[in-house]
Amino acid sequence: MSQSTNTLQQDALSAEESLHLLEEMVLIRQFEQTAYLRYLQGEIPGTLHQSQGQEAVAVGVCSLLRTEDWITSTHRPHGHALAKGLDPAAGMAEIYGRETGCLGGRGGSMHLGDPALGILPSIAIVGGGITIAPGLAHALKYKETDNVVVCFFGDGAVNEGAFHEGVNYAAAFNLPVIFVCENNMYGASTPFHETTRNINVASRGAAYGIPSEQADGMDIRAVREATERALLTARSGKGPVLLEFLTYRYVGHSRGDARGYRTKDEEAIWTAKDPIKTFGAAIVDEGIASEDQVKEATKRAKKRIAEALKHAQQAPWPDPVAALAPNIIFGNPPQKVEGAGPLEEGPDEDRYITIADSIRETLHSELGTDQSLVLLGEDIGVPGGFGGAFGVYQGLAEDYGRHRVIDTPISEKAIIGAAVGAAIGGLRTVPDLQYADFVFEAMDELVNEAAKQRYMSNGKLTIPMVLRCPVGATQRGAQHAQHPESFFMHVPGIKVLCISDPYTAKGALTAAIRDDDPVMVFEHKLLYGAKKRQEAGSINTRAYVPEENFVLPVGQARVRRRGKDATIVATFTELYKALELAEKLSAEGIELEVIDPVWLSPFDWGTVMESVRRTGRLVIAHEAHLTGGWGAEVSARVSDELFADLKAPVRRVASRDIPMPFSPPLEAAVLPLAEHLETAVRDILSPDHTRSDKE
Amino acid sequence: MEAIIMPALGQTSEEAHILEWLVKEGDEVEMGQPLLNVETDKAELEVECVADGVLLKIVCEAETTVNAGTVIAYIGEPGESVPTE
Ligand SMILES: Cc1ncc(C[n+]2csc(CCOP(=O)(O)OP(=O)(O)O)c2C)c(N)n1
Ligand SMILES: [Mg+2]
Repeated sequence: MSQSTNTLQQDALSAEESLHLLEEMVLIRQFEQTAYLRYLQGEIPGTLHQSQGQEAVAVGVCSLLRTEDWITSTHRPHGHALAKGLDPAAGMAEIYGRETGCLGGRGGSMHLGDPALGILPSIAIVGGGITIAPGLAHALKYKETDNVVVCFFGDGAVNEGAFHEGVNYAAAFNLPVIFVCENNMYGASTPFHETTRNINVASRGAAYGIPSEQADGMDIRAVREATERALLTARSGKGPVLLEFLTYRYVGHSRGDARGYRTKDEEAIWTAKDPIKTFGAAIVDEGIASEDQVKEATKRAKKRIAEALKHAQQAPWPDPVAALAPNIIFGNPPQKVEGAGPLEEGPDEDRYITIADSIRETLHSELGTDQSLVLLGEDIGVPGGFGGAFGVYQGLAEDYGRHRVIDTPISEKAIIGAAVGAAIGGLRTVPDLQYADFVFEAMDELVNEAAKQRYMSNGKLTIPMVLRCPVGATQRGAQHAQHPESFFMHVPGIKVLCISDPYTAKGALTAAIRDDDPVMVFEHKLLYGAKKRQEAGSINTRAYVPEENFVLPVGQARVRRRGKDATIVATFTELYKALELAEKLSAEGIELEVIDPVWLSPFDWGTVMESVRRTGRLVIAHEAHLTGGWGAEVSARVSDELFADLKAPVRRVASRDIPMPFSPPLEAAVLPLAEHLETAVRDILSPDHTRSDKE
Repeated sequence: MEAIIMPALGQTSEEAHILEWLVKEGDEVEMGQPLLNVETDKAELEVECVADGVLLKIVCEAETTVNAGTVIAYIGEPGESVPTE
């Protein structure tokens, strides 16, 4: 577990270096104390999580890093950010919520950062950074640098699943991450020893086959020695290291915590180890610096904080309009688009291909043109393996190598976290989820990280990534059938693409890969047309697709068939049922307009509203469950905006609100069927449009 | 000049009872230094000084009960004049 201490000859620190370290520790202490007192005076909104007592870890570690190295931090980030070079004025203004704060007031006390300084806006989800750090390290390694990522977290985080997935992932790929656990013995008010049998965090390194060590986090020299050894390992390509520093926070967990769960005796033991007082005294005792020099260093730090405070108190509040700026929500904000028309016929018989082939061609060609693109997933590149769950990746690893088509552990949190981290480090990734049902494993990485990092960073970061999620019921029961696309329509910062035909597959997927924002791509298993995986109920969706990649506008719907009597908006299998129904009703002289929205976010409201304004009638059809499905949102908006134009109520056809059963007759009882769609359409076309299907 | 307000220290009540001032008008004070002892619904506590300077005026004397947010003292440069009421 622990490495021998004499592998590295540490030269004694000079007076200048020692005083600098002392000044940086005092800077943090003074920042925290000032913020605390000002908070009590009612000047700071929200809450504060402070780090008095833990300064030696932040300064000890960060004093050995380069600007190009990155840190990830936690809900308790002030010390880490200052130690990595954040201007105290920008930090103080941020916790005051002011315009000149490091993130323009979008982050606050729990989200300090500045990407230009290698400080990821800190992550207030306990353990959240542990799955992001490996991806960021992957990007640094992919770009052939020897820069590293230091990932700070508390003792509370090591019992999160994120810890297991993130550390294992970094270890599996030899990624340059130094995992730094600040063990302050408590997660909020709960003692660490009550939450685990193994209170020795460092010993957990052995579980992942990586070097680890425990050191005194109250002694900045001990912190630096351990960190130097870890850096030697990480910078030389030998992979991650786990460091555990024993430390103590002198203040409550957050404001308003009276620390009733700790004894005065315990607090006194740790107060005696004050990292600032002990280090200051040691360098005087050892003759490294004079008492006056120590006083001067302390004074300098206090002066810097006094100036930072003055700055923050006088800084303007942000303009409320800034909260809504589209370019801060998205790297590529939604544009006004014109809906596309029906798919066109092509000249070349060979170019009528399946969705699976179209996706493969798209990925192949993008891998060829963009060297910063990598694919991530389970079973996607192993020689002789599956080539992805639906054979979509076959041949890609052979052509581009397994460093571009990367087989991951079965660790969905780590996969999505790695994609987010890689995006921060300048890569583009296409992670694959095998089945969309597994996305729930990684909701934190998607919703709290991928969707938020651009906004929280005040527009300084973009998170390009394209997450492939196969959906749909195919006689596999309740956990391999779901349609989670509607969940993500609810999340600002994520784009949602639903692929229902091979032409759109190429054009929209190309656009998604080149887009600067996280895009979730949902693909229906019954529409792939993959030769290897013919399923009962598969639909032939072959269509003409040009050979070269092309880009369709993000947010563009496609009118698959034009009509004047009623509009159907549908995705996936329901889209094809709608097209069939339109054909059938056409014989009766009824002309249906069928729209594939393609993107649920951004949604092409213009195309749908224009159609319904003309037809006055709308049915929405999706395989996702009825309640809270995306159809509910479309129905609400259309009913609101087009109330005067509607000739009948808006109807929805969807799966019943029941988990998907396995047995084919049971499955059919839950799914929306062609007859349901037909009934709904005939109802809204009937003179009194009464509901004739019995739920 | 800095108006010092009574911080919100109680768990359930906004009120704090001033037990005693630990400094007197004219004293030099510094950030973090205990200024006064108060009693809340929760406990007896010290209120720390939030600025460096001279204690110009004590607005709320010992043995009075005040709400959080009330100005209890002023700190500033020697000779600065303190607002009346
Ligand atoms: C996923 C998650 N669960 C719970 C919380 C609420 N919470 C915030 S900090 C904290 C304690 C964290 O303890 P530790 O990781 O030891 O860090 P420390 O506060 O000691 O620095 C908790 C439970 C959270 N922010 N995120
Ligand atoms: Mg802790």
